[in-house]
Amino acid sequence: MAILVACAYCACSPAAPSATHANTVAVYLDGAERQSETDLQRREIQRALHDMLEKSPAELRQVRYADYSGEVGRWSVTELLRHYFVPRAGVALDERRFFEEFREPAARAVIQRQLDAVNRTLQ
Amino acid sequence: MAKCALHPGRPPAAAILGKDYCRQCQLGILEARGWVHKHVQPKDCFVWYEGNDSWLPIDGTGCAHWVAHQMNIRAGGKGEQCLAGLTFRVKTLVSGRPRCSSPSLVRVNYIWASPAMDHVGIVVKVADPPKPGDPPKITIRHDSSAQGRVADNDFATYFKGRGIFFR
Repeated sequence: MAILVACAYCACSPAAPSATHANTVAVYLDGAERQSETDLQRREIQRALHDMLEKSPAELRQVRYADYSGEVGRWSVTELLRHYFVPRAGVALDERRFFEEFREPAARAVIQRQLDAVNRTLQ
Repeated sequence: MAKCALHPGRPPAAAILGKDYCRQCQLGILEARGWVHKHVQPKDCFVWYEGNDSWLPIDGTGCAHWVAHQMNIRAGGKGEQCLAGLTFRVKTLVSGRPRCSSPSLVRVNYIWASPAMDHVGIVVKVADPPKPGDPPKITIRHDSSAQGRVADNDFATYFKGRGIFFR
């Protein structure tokens, strides 16, 4: 798997981190476009983002989410993110670093913004 | 002399969708193609380079990518185009296109986007309403992740009559 904060299309690298590139989850989700077709899918995204704000790494590792068709228990949280969010550039989402960093303030702020957006869509 | 499109120091091993790639890229592209989700169309170009010789399927559902291929839309920069140079983000796809002000003015080949701009398709049929004065019956063709295929669905029922049409 690629280094998680190495952007394929720019000079960003772990060796030269900026404020937004310091956290895996923030890099991935900040400005990412959510693509989702049905409210069933949006509710599953909502659940995953909420879990990212509420659960411990150990708890979140155990959770599985429904896939595109609604079949339950198919995707891990990182699989769900990759199926629905298009980051600003080709950015790898490293599993290990994701679980180390998703509770950091920089990540939580971006997760909350994406959660707010999906909440508005579901209203 | 030809070089890998991403690694100028490496000799080309294969031409893929009009560009030369080194052996590592060739193998990465071939492997990533195998991981593209079943509903995504077309599949061969729905991969991107993530650095460190790693190629993966492009993230997201591929809805905008399918529309872009149908309408040959190449908007956006490198991070917004598939391997064939077509757009794969909804907002980039519709950026700059004039909106249609009313469903009664919708025509075939207009682009439809969901209200949140998180899904997109193409108008493939506009039929007269059953009752005069009602809105027309509009059919949207879209790459449907929920249905696992490119599908035709009714705007009024499947999409609840909601969304934005672009010329």
